[in-house]
Amino acid sequence: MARAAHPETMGPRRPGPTRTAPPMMPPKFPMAGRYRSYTLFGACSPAFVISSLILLRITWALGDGEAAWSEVLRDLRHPLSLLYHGVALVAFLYTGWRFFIKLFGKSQPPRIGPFRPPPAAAFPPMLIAAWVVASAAVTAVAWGLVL
Amino acid sequence: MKGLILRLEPVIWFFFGSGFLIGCLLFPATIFALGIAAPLGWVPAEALAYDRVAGLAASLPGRVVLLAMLVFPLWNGLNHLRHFAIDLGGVKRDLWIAPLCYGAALVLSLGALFAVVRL
Repeated sequence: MARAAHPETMGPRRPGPTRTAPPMMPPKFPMAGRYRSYTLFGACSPAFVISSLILLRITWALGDGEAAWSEVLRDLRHPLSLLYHGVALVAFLYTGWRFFIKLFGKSQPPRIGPFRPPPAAAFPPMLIAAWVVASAAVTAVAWGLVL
Repeated sequence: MKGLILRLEPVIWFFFGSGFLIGCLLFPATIFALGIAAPLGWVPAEALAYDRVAGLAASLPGRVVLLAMLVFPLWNGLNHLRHFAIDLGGVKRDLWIAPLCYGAALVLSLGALFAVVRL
């Protein structure tokens, strides 16, 4: 059901000579129709913040020494940590799918410096290939197969 | 504050876009390896040895990748969170959400830089 949006949304800097209807939130916002994927996309943003903070803690522990590193590995075994990382993995995969497949091609400017960007349809396969290569590289390093 | 944020929008959006790219490319495998596979014992113990991991992280490419993985997704997440909060609760709350998000991003980025330098 439609509800009132904030009255200052899209409002002019000074009141105009005529009165306009107050802005309304779209009736399907936030979880119906096309707004669902938009809202889910936004709801994935805490995963970026929390995962960066966890990586910051891991980096900090590496600087502190072996005892701190062992403590981090022990904390990562906590069931809540495992649950969080399962949810975060889904959030990152959903964000990646939406960003790489749906948004990246559409968000390119008409020109990048002197060059025209490739057609929008060329981006998803390129980005998926980059994701596969990057994921394989991270996995190989993590498992000690390389480096 | 609103004027300053508007002037910084191009920089913030550069960090936002880069955060999507770096986060979506590198975080799924990192989360799987460090957050799921390592705790479940699927990663060999010698691969997680402190000397090996600290050596990798302290190398120049390791520091650059770590810093990028720390800073860009952080700005991305906090900028996205700001706009998500405006969508759900109205633009009026942006008076305190924007300074909070960008202040936190700035402080945490400096913390990340310090953490990477001291490796």
